[in-house]
Amino acid sequence: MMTNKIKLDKWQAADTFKRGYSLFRCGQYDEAANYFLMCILLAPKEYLYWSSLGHAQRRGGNLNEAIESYKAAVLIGGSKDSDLLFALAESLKERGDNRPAFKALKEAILHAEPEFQTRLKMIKSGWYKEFKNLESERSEN
Amino acid sequence: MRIEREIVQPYPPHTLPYNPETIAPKPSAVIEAVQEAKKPQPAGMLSNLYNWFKNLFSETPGETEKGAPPTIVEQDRISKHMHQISQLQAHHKDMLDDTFDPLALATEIGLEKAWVKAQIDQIKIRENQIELNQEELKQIHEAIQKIKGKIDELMAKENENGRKAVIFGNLEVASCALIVATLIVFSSVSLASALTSGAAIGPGLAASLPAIKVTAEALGMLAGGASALAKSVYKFKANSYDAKILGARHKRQVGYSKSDDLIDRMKEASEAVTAGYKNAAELEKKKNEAIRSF
Repeated sequence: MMTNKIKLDKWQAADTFKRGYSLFRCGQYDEAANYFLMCILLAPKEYLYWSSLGHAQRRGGNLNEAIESYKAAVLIGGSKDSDLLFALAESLKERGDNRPAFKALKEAILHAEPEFQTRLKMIKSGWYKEFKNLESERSEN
Repeated sequence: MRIEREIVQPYPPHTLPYNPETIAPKPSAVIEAVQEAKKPQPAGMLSNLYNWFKNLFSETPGETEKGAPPTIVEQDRISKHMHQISQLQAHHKDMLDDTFDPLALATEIGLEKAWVKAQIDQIKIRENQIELNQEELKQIHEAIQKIKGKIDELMAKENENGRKAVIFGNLEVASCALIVATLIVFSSVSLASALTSGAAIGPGLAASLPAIKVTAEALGMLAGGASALAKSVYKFKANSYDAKILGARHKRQVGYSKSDDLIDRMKEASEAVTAGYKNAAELEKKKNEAIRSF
């Protein structure tokens, strides 16, 4: 049974999230990330809040923190959210972690809808060529 | 996590619920959240049932009492965001879209989903937050007691009916058994008396003949009794079937006779019409002949 404290926390988390959302829409990503963070302190089990924090951090330029937030979101309950998995894959690729990025992309393909799946497969083939070229360049050097 | 800027909007400083500068995010927050998420949840239906029973007989209101439903504004907002999500997802299907940016779409969809989730959470919490006062609780308990009393009463009535049916059924069987037993006892007594009387007449052949005769009579009586019983049972059955299933015979007979009368009259009427046609045809023929003769 939900206690009053949890109810209040969840209520405040939702309220705080909305404020963070407004800031995100205004382009104030760091402020939005702070609000999302407060939100997570109040309701740490909501993976969507974690993923929102990741988005805000990514837009704010904090890639490493964003990746950690995305990973937390995947661990908590977003392991079947193709959009979240793709965002994680993109962030990992941007950081240069090609293998984990590829793995995350494969997971995203697995859980995506058919049309999005086709798109992601095309992206995957592009990435594959890119990674191959990079490896060949490294081996040549 | 890095927190650099001071938050001034949209919360005024005095209403800010938490100061992000003073509350440092815990490094173990992720681990705690994962552990919380991995905890086994109670089975849905069983827990609902348990809560329902608990609420039914507990003094404090539980989770099932519903409060204010979502307002029109809230519904509109949710539907707007849902529409936004569906529009964003439609971009995934458009294979000819050159400006397709999956990361931007993933960000937008994630945010919209989170917004909808937050709004629904708030509505759910508000619905569950309305509590009943003592007077309302008392009324609910009284209503429950009334319903329970009514159910008990109905159950008792059903039980009573069932018991009565069993008793009468047993009585019927017992009465039949008593009749048969009486008949057999009576027949056997008469048979025994006949035998003894026959034996008392004498050991000789001449003496044994009346005994055999009496024995045969007794057996005949027994058979007669049995047949009489069978006949009466059959008659009772036939009468009861008549009364219960077939209905009153005389009423049916009256109905039959009425329908017979009706059929007879219809026949008469049709014959008269046919005869009328015949007569008319004959008259027409005679008229034509008369015309030709001129």
